[in-house]
Amino acid sequence: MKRSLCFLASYPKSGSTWVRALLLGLLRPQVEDVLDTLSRGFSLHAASREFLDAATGLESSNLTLAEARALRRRAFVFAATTRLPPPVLKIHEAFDGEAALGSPEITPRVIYVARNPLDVCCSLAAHRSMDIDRCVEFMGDPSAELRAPHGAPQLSQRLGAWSGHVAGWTRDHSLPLCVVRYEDLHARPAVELERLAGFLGLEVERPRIESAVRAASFDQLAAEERDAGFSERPPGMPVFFRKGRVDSWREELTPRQAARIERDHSPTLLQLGYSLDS
Amino acid sequence: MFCYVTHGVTVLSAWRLNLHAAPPSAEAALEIVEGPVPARLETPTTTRACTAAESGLALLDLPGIARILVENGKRIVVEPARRGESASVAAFLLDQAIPCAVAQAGHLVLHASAALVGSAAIAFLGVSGSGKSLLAASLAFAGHSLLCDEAMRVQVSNRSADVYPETPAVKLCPPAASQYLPLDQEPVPTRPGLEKYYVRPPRSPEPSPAPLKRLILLEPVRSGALATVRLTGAMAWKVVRAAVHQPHLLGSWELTRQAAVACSRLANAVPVTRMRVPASLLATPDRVLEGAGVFD
Repeated sequence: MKRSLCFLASYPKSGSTWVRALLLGLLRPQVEDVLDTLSRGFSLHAASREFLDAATGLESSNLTLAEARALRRRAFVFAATTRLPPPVLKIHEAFDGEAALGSPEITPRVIYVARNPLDVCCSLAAHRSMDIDRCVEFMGDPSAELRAPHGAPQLSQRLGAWSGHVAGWTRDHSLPLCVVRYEDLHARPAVELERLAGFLGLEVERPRIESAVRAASFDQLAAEERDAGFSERPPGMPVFFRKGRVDSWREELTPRQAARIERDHSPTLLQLGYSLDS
Repeated sequence: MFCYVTHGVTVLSAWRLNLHAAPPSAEAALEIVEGPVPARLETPTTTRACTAAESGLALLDLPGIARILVENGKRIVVEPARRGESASVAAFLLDQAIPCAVAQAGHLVLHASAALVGSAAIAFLGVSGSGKSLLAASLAFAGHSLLCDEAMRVQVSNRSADVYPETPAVKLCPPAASQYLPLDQEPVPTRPGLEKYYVRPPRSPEPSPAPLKRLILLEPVRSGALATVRLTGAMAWKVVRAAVHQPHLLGSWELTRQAAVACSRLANAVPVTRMRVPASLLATPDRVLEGAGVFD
């Protein structure tokens, strides 16, 4: 029987951690320490060496980056066809063709989390300790990459420009696709989560949806981070859950920076239903 | 053939390895030879994308490099994918196939580095990238000696445990590699094209077992203060258990229970400390040992 593997794809800082927390609330409603459970393997990260090591059984620090990347398709197939839980893989890398994700043994499907790039820019700059101008350049660079030294917990990840990232994951394939906008999740989380559950083939009652939304609310996750920390917070950054707001770019970007992002990405912004209002 | 001793086992190898040399011995407990290796096992009871195991056997499939078959803890057969990949084969022999054979022979093998401090071993546990090798190297270049870099065989008796030395060289990535590589040593990559180098500390102990004094679980942090917690009971046992080398293979050899019992006894016999270490302190090992109470 063909197995399915769901890729939770997003450009960094677009809300995929929030979506993972929402899915956790749906699938394991009894879990109280949401962040701890997320970082201890509830959803795997396609670029993590821990995932690659577990799926291949090899010590990936002995592999070159090219070898590690080449082995990942086998690791995806393994994750889909075994009980290694769960079959949801977070991925930030640019879409690299359907062949890189699947094989005759599995059917990949894609949840793509999109967010207004003006807000992404503010969040990513803080997350990567980058200045805003540099981050604007980074998001427009087709060769942009999250570089990691050899032996780091995550492999280097090719992102490309923000527009190309969105286009690759939402237009350049025929895989089953569900696009979720951060702003819609913010405005009507229960409705969006119900849509996600339907896409994943989960039959869930409305009370459980609402309970998952409460458990994954920004205030709840930020409080949990304050109390117990979050291992995915990058060193040097005071908090992972920074603002969790829509349109906070209005307080953080200069008009010139906002206009530059809109100019670089306007067709994709419009495709996703964002207005050009800087 | 080359003769070595590692994990207390005499090895006769067709491959040159970065291990303690031993006099040629006709009674090697482990033999490493070149020969045909099947693409898959007949009745695998454990499978991963590139490894499989069944009773007495483990198969490592390294695409483009080699297939390696580990047989009953006594023999390792290597079929290289092509000529000229001997360094790559050696890297996987050291880090995976030999520890696998030692575990197959019924010994407890942990994913750990270790150094000899005085006459006792201090071992470092932690996920890949947590600084295990760097701490072992910094100790070995501060007047102590290197015991293990990747895998550590531990023999547990009633109230104590012994560590068997693994290797005389530690593998480091830049910038640590350039910091520790002595000027009279050529940088030798563990594999062609890989930014990871063998670094051989000046002193190398006799490859005989040393009593294990402390197990330290490393949790690296970018900054902040060094913080330690002494773990006891189930917490200590879980830390040891999580450090078992290639644990998914043990079930196929009916060794899971034996390993679990050994972990429990080890956690009772040797103090286990969890330590949050700022990156800057990984190169000042005495501070770390002091923090872990090693000198108490």
